Amino acid sequence: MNVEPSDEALLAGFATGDPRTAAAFVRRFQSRVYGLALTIVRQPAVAEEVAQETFARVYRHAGNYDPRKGRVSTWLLSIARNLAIDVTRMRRFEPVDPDLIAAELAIDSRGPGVDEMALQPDERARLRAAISELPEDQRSALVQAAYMGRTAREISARNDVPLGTVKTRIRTAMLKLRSELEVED
Amino acid sequence: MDPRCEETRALAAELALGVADGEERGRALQHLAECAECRTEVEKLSDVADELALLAPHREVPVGFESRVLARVLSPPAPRRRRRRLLVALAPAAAAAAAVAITLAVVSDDLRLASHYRDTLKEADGKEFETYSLAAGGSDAGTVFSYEGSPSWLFISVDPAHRPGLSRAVLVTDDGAQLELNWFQLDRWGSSGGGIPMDPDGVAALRLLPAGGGEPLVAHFNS
Repeated sequence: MNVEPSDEALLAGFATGDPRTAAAFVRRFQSRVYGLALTIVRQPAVAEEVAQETFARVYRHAGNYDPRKGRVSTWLLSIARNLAIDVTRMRRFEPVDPDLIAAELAIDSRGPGVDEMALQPDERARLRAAISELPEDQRSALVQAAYMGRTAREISARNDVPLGTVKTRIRTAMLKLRSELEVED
Repeated sequence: MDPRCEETRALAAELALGVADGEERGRALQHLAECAECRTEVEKLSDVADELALLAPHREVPVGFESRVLARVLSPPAPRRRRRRLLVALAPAAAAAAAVAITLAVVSDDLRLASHYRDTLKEADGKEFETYSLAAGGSDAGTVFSYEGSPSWLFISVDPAHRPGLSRAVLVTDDGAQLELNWFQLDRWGSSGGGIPMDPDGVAALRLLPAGGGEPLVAHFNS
């Protein structure tokens, strides 16, 4: 029987510099890392740059990964997200319409067999549905914070909405998503 | 509820998303170090934030991505290369040594020129100014000037015969990454310039691409 190595096992192999394990690790996560980077930076060349740097950092800092704090995919994507947001801020890219990102999130575009360790498909579908069902102002605030790295103060200034209102929208949206995920926990 | 718990709970979503800022973030982090209940609250929301990152659509990576990542990660770093410098690198000591072989007048001119370049760079806190040849196949097609400073920038000048159709400029870094220069557009003199978000020392090549495909113009920065 051919058993796929776990994400943790591949990460450990990647960190040792073994070429075959490293290739398997990159292959397992590359579409997800590149997809997240592209969602945030919107430019393929820059997204590739971010994705490459993500893997380089994971290689350098693999020893810092703590499985008690979360999955490999979560750790990897948090690095990609932060890098992508930094690049967007540093290069002052044209602001993206948050609705466009929200629309992309609503589409399940997983490749086959690459997401075994993440949420179960029905949970993921519930989360997507929950985001779609958020009132537009809450969804927009959530997307701007989660995918564009904007603080409540920045969202308030850009959208000309009182700071307290923005904070409430982000909080309410996150609490709704949390309760949606907790339904079957 | 304790007012500090109340304040931290109100900020929990922003903390989980990594977008809390300023003093309120500092206060909340201080409180979280002491309050297990608030920590649990933030951790639950952090799980939601993590799942949000996993929802981003998967995308097919560009051809050769895996090889480029592995080459970058698994290869030892290349030694810093030596490159062609303009006279800005001409130190007074070197100029003085050259005086043995050339006339005092020439040395004097060179020193003045070197001094002028140094002053020019100093004005904007720049470090280096260099030139590279743009080539199409085996023939010269123009020149690229690079400036290392804050910000660093490129100025591209293309010979008339090679200007038609050029629509994109892509920087290839030492790591193999490619970066599109969005400002690239030739003006009527065949030139274009703008900032680059990196030190020119990390650039391997600049490629100017024709709109309908065809042979690019390339400047190799390590030649």
